[in-house]
Amino acid sequence: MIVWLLTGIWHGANFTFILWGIIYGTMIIIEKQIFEKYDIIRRKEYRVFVVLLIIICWVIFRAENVELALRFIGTMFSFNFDNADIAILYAKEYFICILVGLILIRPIEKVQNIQIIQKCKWGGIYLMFALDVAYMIKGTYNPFIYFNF
Amino acid sequence: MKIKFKKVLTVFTFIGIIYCNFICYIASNKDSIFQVMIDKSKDVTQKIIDIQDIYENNCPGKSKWIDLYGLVQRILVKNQIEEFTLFRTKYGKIIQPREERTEEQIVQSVDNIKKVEDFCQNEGILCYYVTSILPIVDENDLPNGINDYSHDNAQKLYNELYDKDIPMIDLRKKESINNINKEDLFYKTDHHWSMETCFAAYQEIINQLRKDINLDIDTKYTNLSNYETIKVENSFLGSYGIKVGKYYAGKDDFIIYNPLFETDLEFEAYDTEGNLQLQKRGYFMYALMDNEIIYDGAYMNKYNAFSNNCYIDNRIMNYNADNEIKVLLISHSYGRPLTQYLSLCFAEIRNIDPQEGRYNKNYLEYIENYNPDIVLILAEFEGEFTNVLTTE
Repeated sequence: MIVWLLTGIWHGANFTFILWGIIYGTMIIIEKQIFEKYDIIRRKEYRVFVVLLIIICWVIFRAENVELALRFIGTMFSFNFDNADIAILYAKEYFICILVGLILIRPIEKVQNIQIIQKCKWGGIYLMFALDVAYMIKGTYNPFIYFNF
Repeated sequence: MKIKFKKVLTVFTFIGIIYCNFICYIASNKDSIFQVMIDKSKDVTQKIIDIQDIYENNCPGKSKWIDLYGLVQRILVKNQIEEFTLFRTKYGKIIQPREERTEEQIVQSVDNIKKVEDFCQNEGILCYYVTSILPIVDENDLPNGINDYSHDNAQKLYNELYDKDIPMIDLRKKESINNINKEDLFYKTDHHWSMETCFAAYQEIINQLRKDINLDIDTKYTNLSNYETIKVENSFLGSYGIKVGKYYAGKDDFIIYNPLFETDLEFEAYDTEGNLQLQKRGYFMYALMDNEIIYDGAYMNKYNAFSNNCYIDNRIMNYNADNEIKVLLISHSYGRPLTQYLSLCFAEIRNIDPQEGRYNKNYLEYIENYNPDIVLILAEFEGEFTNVLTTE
Protein backbone atom coordinates (compact mmCIF):
# COMPACT_ATOMS: atom_id res chain seq x y z
CA MET A 1 0.00 0.00 0.00
CA ILE A 2 2.83 2.37 0.89
CA VAL A 3 4.59 1.57 -2.39
CA TRP A 4 1.49 2.38 -4.46
CA LEU A 5 0.73 5.49 -2.44
CA LEU A 6 4.28 6.72 -3.05
CA THR A 7 4.00 5.74 -6.72
CA GLY A 8 0.93 7.95 -6.95
CA ILE A 9 2.55 10.87 -5.15
CA TRP A 10 5.67 10.52 -7.31
CA HIS A 11 3.61 11.51 -10.34
CA GLY A 12 2.68 14.85 -8.85
CA ALA A 13 0.96 16.89 -6.19
CA ASN A 14 -2.60 16.08 -7.13
CA PHE A 15 -5.26 14.06 -5.34
CA THR A 16 -5.92 12.22 -8.60
CA PHE A 17 -2.50 10.56 -8.40
CA ILE A 18 -2.98 9.73 -4.71
CA LEU A 19 -6.41 8.25 -5.37
CA TRP A 20 -5.01 6.26 -8.27
CA GLY A 21 -2.25 4.87 -6.02
CA ILE A 22 -4.68 4.07 -3.20
CA ILE A 23 -7.06 2.18 -5.51
CA TYR A 24 -4.21 0.16 -7.04
CA GLY A 25 -2.71 -0.59 -3.61
CA THR A 26 -6.09 -1.58 -2.16
CA MET A 27 -6.91 -3.81 -5.11
CA ILE A 28 -3.57 -5.59 -4.95
CA ILE A 29 -4.06 -6.24 -1.23
CA ILE A 30 -7.57 -7.60 -1.84
CA GLU A 31 -6.33 -9.69 -4.75
CA LYS A 32 -3.46 -11.23 -2.79
CA GLN A 33 -5.39 -11.75 0.45
CA ILE A 34 -8.81 -12.80 -0.79
CA PHE A 35 -9.15 -13.43 -4.52
CA GLU A 36 -6.03 -15.58 -4.81
CA LYS A 37 -7.06 -17.62 -1.77
CA TYR A 38 -10.45 -18.49 -3.25
CA ASP A 39 -9.05 -18.88 -6.77
CA ILE A 40 -11.25 -16.08 -8.08
CA ILE A 41 -8.43 -14.58 -10.13
CA ARG A 42 -8.69 -17.41 -12.68
CA ARG A 43 -12.31 -16.56 -13.47
CA LYS A 44 -13.12 -14.81 -16.76
CA GLU A 45 -15.42 -12.36 -14.97
CA TYR A 46 -12.54 -11.32 -12.77
CA ARG A 47 -10.37 -10.53 -15.80
CA VAL A 48 -13.13 -8.32 -17.21
CA PHE A 49 -13.46 -6.64 -13.82
CA VAL A 50 -9.70 -5.97 -13.64
CA VAL A 51 -9.58 -4.49 -17.15
CA LEU A 52 -12.53 -2.22 -16.34
CA LEU A 53 -10.98 -1.14 -13.09
CA ILE A 54 -7.69 -0.31 -14.78
CA ILE A 55 -9.51 1.78 -17.39
CA ILE A 56 -11.37 3.66 -14.65
CA CYS A 57 -8.12 4.21 -12.77
CA TRP A 58 -6.47 5.68 -15.88
CA VAL A 59 -9.33 8.17 -16.10
CA ILE A 60 -8.59 9.24 -12.53
CA PHE A 61 -4.88 9.38 -13.29
CA ARG A 62 -5.26 11.64 -16.34
CA ALA A 63 -8.03 13.91 -15.06
CA GLU A 64 -7.19 17.43 -13.96
CA ASN A 65 -8.87 16.91 -10.60
CA VAL A 66 -10.99 14.35 -8.75
CA GLU A 67 -14.24 16.17 -9.49
CA LEU A 68 -13.59 16.04 -13.23
CA ALA A 69 -12.54 12.41 -12.97
CA LEU A 70 -15.79 11.50 -11.22
CA ARG A 71 -17.82 13.43 -13.77
CA PHE A 72 -15.97 11.65 -16.57
CA ILE A 73 -16.59 8.23 -15.01
CA GLY A 74 -20.23 9.17 -14.41
CA THR A 75 -20.59 9.98 -18.11
CA MET A 76 -18.93 6.68 -19.05
CA PHE A 77 -21.64 4.79 -17.16
CA SER A 78 -24.58 7.15 -17.73
CA PHE A 79 -25.87 5.24 -20.78
CA ASN A 80 -26.65 8.60 -22.34
CA PHE A 81 -26.52 8.14 -26.11
CA ASP A 82 -26.60 11.82 -27.12
CA ASN A 83 -23.02 11.63 -28.31
CA ALA A 84 -23.21 8.11 -29.63
CA ASP A 85 -21.77 9.19 -32.99
CA ILE A 86 -18.54 10.24 -31.23
CA ALA A 87 -18.39 6.88 -29.45
CA ILE A 88 -18.95 5.09 -32.76
CA LEU A 89 -16.22 7.20 -34.36
CA TYR A 90 -13.74 6.22 -31.65
CA ALA A 91 -14.78 2.58 -31.90
CA LYS A 92 -14.28 2.66 -35.68
CA GLU A 93 -10.91 4.38 -35.44
CA TYR A 94 -9.65 1.87 -32.90
CA PHE A 95 -11.53 -1.17 -34.20
CA ILE A 96 -8.45 -3.16 -35.21
CA CYS A 97 -6.61 -2.22 -32.02
CA ILE A 98 -9.61 -3.35 -29.96
CA LEU A 99 -9.72 -6.60 -31.91
CA VAL A 100 -6.03 -7.28 -31.29
CA GLY A 101 -6.54 -6.31 -27.64
CA LEU A 102 -9.37 -8.81 -27.30
CA ILE A 103 -7.09 -11.58 -28.56
CA LEU A 104 -4.18 -10.59 -26.35
CA ILE A 105 -6.31 -10.12 -23.24
CA ARG A 106 -6.41 -13.89 -22.83
CA PRO A 107 -3.92 -15.63 -20.48
CA ILE A 108 -0.42 -15.65 -21.93
CA GLU A 109 -0.26 -19.49 -22.13
CA LYS A 110 -3.32 -19.53 -24.38
CA VAL A 111 -2.12 -16.65 -26.53
CA GLN A 112 1.25 -18.33 -27.00
CA ASN A 113 -0.46 -21.46 -28.28
CA ILE A 114 -2.21 -19.64 -31.14
CA GLN A 115 -0.47 -21.05 -34.22
CA ILE A 116 0.07 -17.78 -36.05
CA ILE A 117 1.54 -16.17 -32.95
CA GLN A 118 3.90 -19.10 -32.48
CA LYS A 119 5.10 -18.76 -36.07
CA CYS A 120 5.51 -14.99 -36.10
CA LYS A 121 6.56 -14.48 -32.49
CA TRP A 122 10.12 -13.23 -33.00
CA GLY A 123 9.39 -11.28 -36.14
CA GLY A 124 6.43 -9.79 -34.33
CA ILE A 125 8.55 -8.71 -31.37
CA TYR A 126 11.04 -6.92 -33.64
CA LEU A 127 8.21 -5.38 -35.66
CA MET A 128 6.53 -4.13 -32.51
CA PHE A 129 9.83 -2.62 -31.41
CA ALA A 130 10.20 -0.82 -34.75
CA LEU A 131 6.63 0.44 -34.49
CA ASP A 132 7.26 1.65 -30.94
CA VAL A 133 10.22 3.66 -32.20
CA ALA A 134 8.13 5.04 -35.07
CA TYR A 135 5.34 6.13 -32.72
CA MET A 136 7.88 7.60 -30.30
CA ILE A 137 9.59 9.61 -33.02
CA LYS A 138 6.26 10.72 -34.39
CA GLY A 139 5.70 12.23 -30.96
CA THR A 140 2.09 11.14 -30.85
CA TYR A 141 0.12 12.29 -27.85
CA ASN A 142 2.84 12.15 -25.31
CA PRO A 143 2.28 14.63 -22.52
CA PHE A 144 5.01 14.88 -19.94
CA ILE A 145 3.33 13.54 -16.82
CA TYR A 146 6.11 13.58 -14.25
CA PHE A 147 7.25 16.31 -11.87
CA ASN A 148 3.75 17.76 -11.72
CA PHE A 149 4.48 19.56 -8.50
CA MET B 1 18.74 -23.38 -25.00
CA LYS B 2 17.89 -22.01 -28.45
CA ILE B 3 14.92 -20.06 -27.09
CA LYS B 4 17.03 -18.72 -24.22
CA PHE B 5 19.65 -17.54 -26.70
CA LYS B 6 16.95 -15.79 -28.76
CA LYS B 7 15.65 -14.07 -25.65
CA VAL B 8 19.10 -12.86 -24.64
CA LEU B 9 19.80 -11.74 -28.22
CA THR B 10 16.53 -9.83 -28.35
CA VAL B 11 17.21 -8.10 -25.05
CA PHE B 12 20.71 -7.06 -26.13
CA THR B 13 19.51 -5.99 -29.59
CA PHE B 14 16.84 -3.74 -28.09
CA ILE B 15 19.16 -2.32 -25.45
CA GLY B 16 21.88 -1.86 -28.09
CA ILE B 17 19.55 0.02 -30.46
CA ILE B 18 18.16 2.20 -27.68
CA TYR B 19 21.57 3.14 -26.26
CA CYS B 20 23.28 3.57 -29.66
CA ASN B 21 20.43 5.82 -30.69
CA PHE B 22 20.71 7.72 -27.41
CA ILE B 23 24.50 8.22 -27.74
CA CYS B 24 24.18 9.29 -31.42
CA TYR B 25 21.42 11.68 -30.44
CA ILE B 26 23.47 13.27 -27.65
CA ALA B 27 26.53 13.52 -29.91
CA SER B 28 24.72 15.10 -32.85
CA ASN B 29 22.63 17.53 -30.78
CA LYS B 30 25.02 18.35 -27.96
CA ASP B 31 25.00 22.10 -28.64
CA SER B 32 21.19 22.39 -28.70
CA ILE B 33 20.85 20.18 -25.60
CA PHE B 34 23.49 22.23 -23.80
CA GLN B 35 21.63 25.45 -24.63
CA VAL B 36 18.44 24.01 -23.14
CA MET B 37 20.27 22.74 -20.05
CA ILE B 38 21.80 26.14 -19.21
CA ASP B 39 18.64 28.12 -19.94
CA LYS B 40 17.70 29.43 -16.50
CA SER B 41 14.28 30.67 -17.65
CA LYS B 42 13.00 27.09 -18.01
CA ASP B 43 12.09 24.69 -15.23
CA VAL B 44 13.10 21.01 -15.20
CA THR B 45 9.85 19.86 -16.83
CA GLN B 46 10.19 22.35 -19.69
CA LYS B 47 13.82 21.38 -20.19
CA ILE B 48 12.90 17.71 -20.51
CA ILE B 49 10.10 18.55 -22.95
CA ASP B 50 12.48 20.69 -25.02
CA ILE B 51 15.12 17.96 -25.11
CA GLN B 52 12.45 15.50 -26.20
CA ASP B 53 11.39 17.96 -28.93
CA ILE B 54 14.99 18.21 -30.12
CA TYR B 55 15.08 14.43 -30.33
CA GLU B 56 11.81 14.20 -32.24
CA ASN B 57 12.83 16.92 -34.69
CA ASN B 58 16.38 15.78 -35.33
CA CYS B 59 16.36 12.03 -35.04
CA PRO B 60 18.11 10.29 -37.94
CA GLY B 61 15.80 9.08 -40.69
CA LYS B 62 12.82 10.85 -39.14
CA SER B 63 10.80 10.94 -42.36
CA LYS B 64 11.25 7.17 -42.81
CA TRP B 65 9.99 6.50 -39.30
CA ILE B 66 7.02 8.77 -39.89
CA ASP B 67 6.33 6.96 -43.17
CA LEU B 68 6.25 3.72 -41.16
CA TYR B 69 3.94 5.30 -38.61
CA GLY B 70 1.63 6.51 -41.39
CA LEU B 71 1.66 3.11 -43.03
CA VAL B 72 0.49 1.52 -39.78
CA GLN B 73 -2.22 4.16 -39.40
CA ARG B 74 -3.35 3.34 -42.92
CA ILE B 75 -3.40 -0.40 -42.18
CA LEU B 76 -5.40 0.32 -39.03
CA VAL B 77 -7.90 2.18 -41.26
CA LYS B 78 -7.55 5.36 -39.24
CA ASN B 79 -9.04 8.53 -40.64
CA GLN B 80 -8.03 10.78 -37.79
CA ILE B 81 -4.57 12.19 -37.15
CA GLU B 82 -3.10 14.04 -34.19
CA GLU B 83 -5.64 13.00 -31.59
CA PHE B 84 -8.76 13.79 -33.60
CA THR B 85 -7.62 17.25 -34.72
CA LEU B 86 -6.93 16.36 -38.36
CA PHE B 87 -9.01 14.08 -40.58
CA ARG B 88 -8.56 12.41 -43.88
CA THR B 89 -11.61 13.19 -45.97
CA LYS B 90 -13.22 10.70 -48.28
CA TYR B 91 -11.67 12.47 -51.27
CA GLY B 92 -8.18 12.07 -49.81
CA LYS B 93 -7.46 15.56 -48.53
CA ILE B 94 -6.37 16.04 -44.94
CA ILE B 95 -8.30 18.81 -43.24
CA GLN B 96 -8.52 20.41 -39.85
CA PRO B 97 -12.16 20.94 -38.85
CA ARG B 98 -12.73 24.28 -37.16
CA GLU B 99 -14.70 24.83 -34.01
CA GLU B 100 -17.56 27.28 -33.94
CA ARG B 101 -16.43 30.82 -33.14
CA THR B 102 -18.42 32.88 -30.69
CA GLU B 103 -20.22 36.10 -31.58
CA GLU B 104 -17.76 37.91 -29.31
CA GLN B 105 -14.73 36.56 -31.20
CA ILE B 106 -16.22 37.57 -34.53
CA VAL B 107 -17.04 41.08 -33.33
CA GLN B 108 -13.53 41.45 -31.92
CA SER B 109 -12.02 40.40 -35.25
CA VAL B 110 -14.14 42.80 -37.23
CA ASP B 111 -13.51 45.67 -34.80
CA ASN B 112 -9.78 45.24 -35.37
CA ILE B 113 -10.18 45.15 -39.14
CA LYS B 114 -12.38 48.23 -38.90
CA LYS B 115 -9.65 50.09 -37.02
CA VAL B 116 -7.22 49.39 -39.85
CA GLU B 117 -9.80 50.34 -42.46
CA ASP B 118 -10.64 53.62 -40.69
CA PHE B 119 -6.96 54.44 -40.39
CA CYS B 120 -6.43 53.76 -44.10
CA GLN B 121 -9.45 55.85 -45.03
CA ASN B 122 -8.09 58.81 -43.04
CA GLU B 123 -4.73 58.44 -44.79
CA GLY B 124 -6.37 58.21 -48.21
CA ILE B 125 -5.33 54.58 -48.65
CA LEU B 126 -7.60 52.07 -50.34
CA CYS B 127 -8.25 49.12 -48.01
CA TYR B 128 -9.93 45.81 -48.81
CA TYR B 129 -10.67 42.75 -46.77
CA VAL B 130 -10.09 39.75 -49.04
CA THR B 131 -12.12 36.75 -48.02
CA SER B 132 -10.33 33.45 -47.60
CA ILE B 133 -11.04 30.50 -49.80
CA LEU B 134 -11.89 27.52 -47.60
CA PRO B 135 -11.75 23.82 -48.31
CA ILE B 136 -15.16 22.48 -49.26
CA VAL B 137 -16.19 19.83 -46.82
CA ASP B 138 -19.46 18.10 -47.55
CA GLU B 139 -21.36 16.54 -44.70
CA ASN B 140 -20.28 13.05 -45.70
CA ASP B 141 -16.61 13.85 -46.17
CA LEU B 142 -15.93 13.84 -42.45
CA PRO B 143 -16.65 11.01 -40.04
CA ASN B 144 -20.01 11.17 -38.25
CA GLY B 145 -19.81 13.27 -35.11
CA ILE B 146 -17.16 15.64 -36.46
CA ASN B 147 -18.37 19.04 -37.61
CA ASP B 148 -16.50 21.71 -39.49
CA TYR B 149 -17.61 25.28 -38.78
CA SER B 150 -15.11 27.07 -41.03
CA HIS B 151 -17.76 28.15 -43.56
CA ASP B 152 -20.24 29.16 -40.85
CA ASN B 153 -17.52 31.16 -39.09
CA ALA B 154 -16.51 32.80 -42.35
CA GLN B 155 -20.10 33.69 -43.21
CA LYS B 156 -20.65 35.25 -39.79
CA LEU B 157 -17.43 37.23 -40.15
CA TYR B 158 -18.36 38.46 -43.60
CA ASN B 159 -21.87 39.45 -42.46
CA GLU B 160 -20.32 41.52 -39.71
CA LEU B 161 -17.81 43.06 -42.14
CA TYR B 162 -20.70 43.90 -44.48
CA ASP B 163 -22.64 45.53 -41.64
CA LYS B 164 -19.60 47.64 -40.77
CA ASP B 165 -19.33 48.72 -44.40
CA ILE B 166 -15.81 47.37 -44.87
CA PRO B 167 -14.89 47.01 -48.57
CA MET B 168 -14.47 43.36 -49.47
CA ILE B 169 -13.18 41.26 -52.29
CA ASP B 170 -15.24 38.16 -51.74
CA LEU B 171 -13.28 35.37 -53.42
CA ARG B 172 -15.88 32.82 -52.35
CA LYS B 173 -18.37 34.30 -54.80
CA LYS B 174 -16.06 34.43 -57.82
CA GLU B 175 -16.98 32.08 -60.62
CA SER B 176 -13.40 31.19 -61.56
CA ILE B 177 -12.82 29.93 -58.03
CA ASN B 178 -16.13 28.15 -57.78
CA ASN B 179 -15.29 26.31 -60.99
CA ILE B 180 -12.25 24.65 -59.42
CA ASN B 181 -12.95 21.09 -58.26
CA LYS B 182 -12.96 20.74 -54.49
CA GLU B 183 -10.15 18.19 -54.81
CA ASP B 184 -7.99 20.80 -56.55
CA LEU B 185 -8.70 23.87 -54.42
CA PHE B 186 -6.06 22.97 -51.85
CA TYR B 187 -3.06 20.69 -51.73
CA LYS B 188 -4.24 17.39 -50.32
CA THR B 189 -1.37 17.21 -47.83
CA ASP B 190 -1.30 20.86 -46.86
CA HIS B 191 -3.54 23.65 -45.62
CA HIS B 192 -2.54 26.08 -48.35
CA TRP B 193 -4.26 26.93 -51.62
CA SER B 194 -3.11 25.05 -54.68
CA MET B 195 -1.35 26.98 -57.43
CA GLU B 196 -4.55 26.91 -59.49
CA THR B 197 -6.53 28.49 -56.65
CA CYS B 198 -3.82 31.01 -55.87
CA PHE B 199 -3.65 32.17 -59.47
CA ALA B 200 -7.44 32.42 -59.71
CA ALA B 201 -7.45 34.51 -56.52
CA TYR B 202 -4.74 36.75 -58.03
CA GLN B 203 -6.78 37.21 -61.21
CA GLU B 204 -9.93 38.02 -59.25
CA ILE B 205 -8.22 40.57 -56.99
CA ILE B 206 -6.74 42.39 -59.98
CA ASN B 207 -10.07 42.22 -61.85
CA GLN B 208 -11.89 43.75 -58.92
CA LEU B 209 -9.32 46.54 -58.63
CA ARG B 210 -9.62 47.16 -62.37
CA LYS B 211 -13.37 47.49 -61.93
CA ASP B 212 -13.47 49.46 -58.66
CA ILE B 213 -10.72 52.02 -59.23
CA ASN B 214 -10.17 51.76 -62.97
CA LEU B 215 -6.78 50.27 -62.33
CA ASP B 216 -4.91 50.04 -65.61
CA ILE B 217 -3.11 46.71 -65.51
CA ASP B 218 -2.02 45.01 -68.71
CA THR B 219 -3.97 41.77 -69.23
CA LYS B 220 -0.76 39.93 -70.09
CA TYR B 221 0.01 39.76 -66.37
CA THR B 222 -3.22 38.00 -65.50
CA ASN B 223 -3.63 35.78 -68.53
CA LEU B 224 -2.52 32.26 -67.69
CA SER B 225 -1.49 31.63 -71.31
CA ASN B 226 1.44 33.99 -70.66
CA TYR B 227 2.80 31.61 -68.05
CA GLU B 228 4.48 28.24 -68.33
CA THR B 229 3.67 25.50 -65.83
CA ILE B 230 6.60 24.08 -63.92
CA LYS B 231 5.59 20.83 -62.29
CA VAL B 232 7.68 18.74 -59.91
CA GLU B 233 5.62 15.58 -59.68
CA ASN B 234 5.00 13.71 -56.42
CA SER B 235 7.41 15.86 -54.53
CA PHE B 236 5.38 17.83 -52.02
CA LEU B 237 4.37 16.65 -48.58
CA GLY B 238 2.72 19.60 -46.87
CA SER B 239 2.39 20.53 -43.23
CA TYR B 240 -0.38 17.96 -42.67
CA GLY B 241 1.27 15.27 -44.77
CA ILE B 242 4.57 15.57 -42.92
CA LYS B 243 2.80 14.44 -39.75
CA VAL B 244 1.81 11.10 -41.26
CA GLY B 245 4.20 10.46 -44.12
CA LYS B 246 3.76 9.60 -47.78
CA TYR B 247 2.12 6.18 -47.36
CA TYR B 248 -0.78 7.69 -45.47
CA ALA B 249 -1.20 11.07 -47.14
CA GLY B 250 0.19 10.48 -50.60
CA LYS B 251 2.18 13.28 -52.21
CA ASP B 252 1.18 16.39 -54.10
CA ASP B 253 2.67 17.69 -57.32
CA PHE B 254 4.40 21.00 -56.74
CA ILE B 255 3.34 23.44 -59.42
CA ILE B 256 4.51 26.95 -60.22
CA TYR B 257 3.23 29.26 -62.94
CA ASN B 258 6.30 30.96 -64.33
CA PRO B 259 5.84 34.18 -66.35
CA LEU B 260 6.89 33.92 -70.00
CA PHE B 261 7.19 37.70 -70.22
CA GLU B 262 10.29 39.49 -69.04
CA THR B 263 10.53 40.19 -65.32
CA ASP B 264 12.99 42.19 -63.23
CA LEU B 265 12.19 41.83 -59.55
CA GLU B 266 14.05 42.54 -56.35
CA PHE B 267 13.17 40.53 -53.28
CA GLU B 268 14.01 41.67 -49.77
CA ALA B 269 13.20 39.85 -46.54
CA TYR B 270 13.35 41.50 -43.13
CA ASP B 271 13.21 40.00 -39.65
CA THR B 272 11.03 41.20 -36.77
CA GLU B 273 13.61 43.84 -35.84
CA GLY B 274 13.66 45.23 -39.35
CA ASN B 275 17.07 43.81 -40.26
CA LEU B 276 17.58 42.79 -43.87
CA GLN B 277 17.88 39.00 -44.06
CA LEU B 278 17.92 38.29 -47.77
CA GLN B 279 18.17 40.30 -50.96
CA LYS B 280 17.93 38.91 -54.50
CA ARG B 281 17.31 40.55 -57.84
CA GLY B 282 16.50 38.91 -61.14
CA TYR B 283 13.75 37.13 -63.03
CA PHE B 284 10.67 35.68 -61.29
CA MET B 285 11.95 32.17 -60.60
CA TYR B 286 15.34 33.39 -59.42
CA ALA B 287 14.35 36.38 -57.33
CA LEU B 288 11.27 35.00 -55.60
CA MET B 289 11.61 31.22 -55.39
CA ASP B 290 14.05 29.08 -53.43
CA ASN B 291 15.08 26.75 -56.24
CA GLU B 292 17.12 24.52 -53.94
CA ILE B 293 13.96 23.62 -52.04
CA ILE B 294 12.04 22.97 -55.25
CA TYR B 295 14.54 20.50 -56.67
CA ASP B 296 15.89 18.93 -53.47
CA GLY B 297 14.34 15.46 -53.49
CA ALA B 298 14.73 15.08 -49.74
CA TYR B 299 13.00 18.38 -48.90
CA MET B 300 9.33 17.60 -48.63
CA ASN B 301 7.58 20.84 -47.63
CA LYS B 302 7.96 22.54 -51.01
CA TYR B 303 5.62 25.38 -50.05
CA ASN B 304 8.61 26.93 -48.29
CA ALA B 305 10.09 27.61 -51.72
CA PHE B 306 7.66 30.52 -52.13
CA SER B 307 9.10 33.90 -51.09
CA ASN B 308 12.46 32.23 -50.51
CA ASN B 309 11.19 30.59 -47.33
CA CYS B 310 10.84 34.02 -45.68
CA TYR B 311 7.62 34.93 -43.92
CA ILE B 312 7.86 37.95 -41.63
CA ASP B 313 8.23 41.06 -43.77
CA ASN B 314 8.79 40.38 -47.48
CA ARG B 315 9.18 43.18 -50.00
CA ILE B 316 9.23 42.90 -53.78
CA MET B 317 10.20 45.76 -56.08
CA ASN B 318 9.17 45.41 -59.72
CA TYR B 319 11.51 47.34 -62.01
CA ASN B 320 9.36 46.61 -65.07
CA ALA B 321 6.17 47.93 -63.49
CA ASP B 322 3.81 50.07 -65.56
CA ASN B 323 2.80 52.14 -62.52
CA GLU B 324 4.09 53.56 -59.24
CA ILE B 325 1.53 51.82 -57.04
CA LYS B 326 2.61 50.41 -53.68
CA VAL B 327 0.60 47.59 -52.09
CA LEU B 328 0.65 46.12 -48.60
CA LEU B 329 -0.72 42.60 -48.19
CA ILE B 330 -1.42 41.60 -44.60
CA SER B 331 -1.81 37.87 -44.69
CA HIS B 332 -0.71 34.60 -43.19
CA SER B 333 1.21 32.09 -45.28
CA TYR B 334 -1.58 31.83 -47.91
CA GLY B 335 -0.37 35.18 -49.11
CA ARG B 336 3.19 34.20 -49.99
CA PRO B 337 2.63 32.90 -53.54
CA LEU B 338 -0.16 35.44 -54.03
CA THR B 339 2.30 38.25 -53.22
CA GLN B 340 4.62 36.95 -55.90
CA TYR B 341 1.95 37.21 -58.61
CA LEU B 342 0.61 40.55 -57.37
CA SER B 343 4.17 41.89 -57.52
CA LEU B 344 4.02 41.59 -61.31
CA CYS B 345 1.29 44.26 -61.48
CA PHE B 346 2.67 46.89 -59.11
CA ALA B 347 5.85 48.88 -58.52
CA GLU B 348 6.20 47.49 -55.03
CA ILE B 349 4.41 45.06 -52.76
CA ARG B 350 5.06 44.11 -49.17
CA ASN B 351 3.68 41.11 -47.35
CA ILE B 352 3.62 41.02 -43.56
CA ASP B 353 2.37 38.04 -41.59
CA PRO B 354 0.53 38.75 -38.32
CA GLN B 355 0.80 35.23 -36.91
CA GLU B 356 2.45 34.85 -33.53
CA GLY B 357 6.23 35.07 -33.76
CA ARG B 358 6.12 36.80 -37.15
CA TYR B 359 5.39 40.50 -37.66
CA ASN B 360 3.70 41.32 -34.36
CA LYS B 361 4.38 45.05 -34.10
CA ASN B 362 1.92 47.89 -34.58
CA TYR B 363 0.35 47.57 -38.02
CA LEU B 364 -1.00 51.10 -38.11
CA GLU B 365 2.52 52.41 -37.60
CA TYR B 366 3.74 50.13 -40.38
CA ILE B 367 1.09 51.47 -42.74
CA GLU B 368 1.88 55.05 -41.77
CA ASN B 369 5.60 54.58 -42.38
CA TYR B 370 5.22 52.65 -45.62
CA ASN B 371 2.34 54.76 -46.94
CA PRO B 372 1.03 52.27 -49.51
CA ASP B 373 -1.69 53.06 -52.07
CA ILE B 374 -3.60 49.84 -51.39
CA VAL B 375 -3.87 47.64 -48.30
CA LEU B 376 -5.21 44.11 -48.70
CA ILE B 377 -6.09 42.15 -45.59
CA LEU B 378 -6.25 38.41 -46.14
CA ALA B 379 -6.37 36.54 -42.87
CA GLU B 380 -8.73 34.26 -40.99
CA PHE B 381 -8.20 36.09 -37.70
CA GLU B 382 -8.61 33.15 -35.37
CA GLY B 383 -8.47 33.76 -31.61
CA GLU B 384 -5.84 36.24 -30.49
CA PHE B 385 -4.54 36.54 -34.01
CA THR B 386 -6.26 39.86 -34.69
CA ASN B 387 -4.83 41.73 -31.73
CA VAL B 388 -1.53 42.36 -33.46
CA LEU B 389 -3.31 44.46 -36.03
CA THR B 390 -3.67 47.22 -33.51
CA THR B 391 -1.06 46.45 -30.86
CA GLU B 392 -0.09 49.71 -29.20
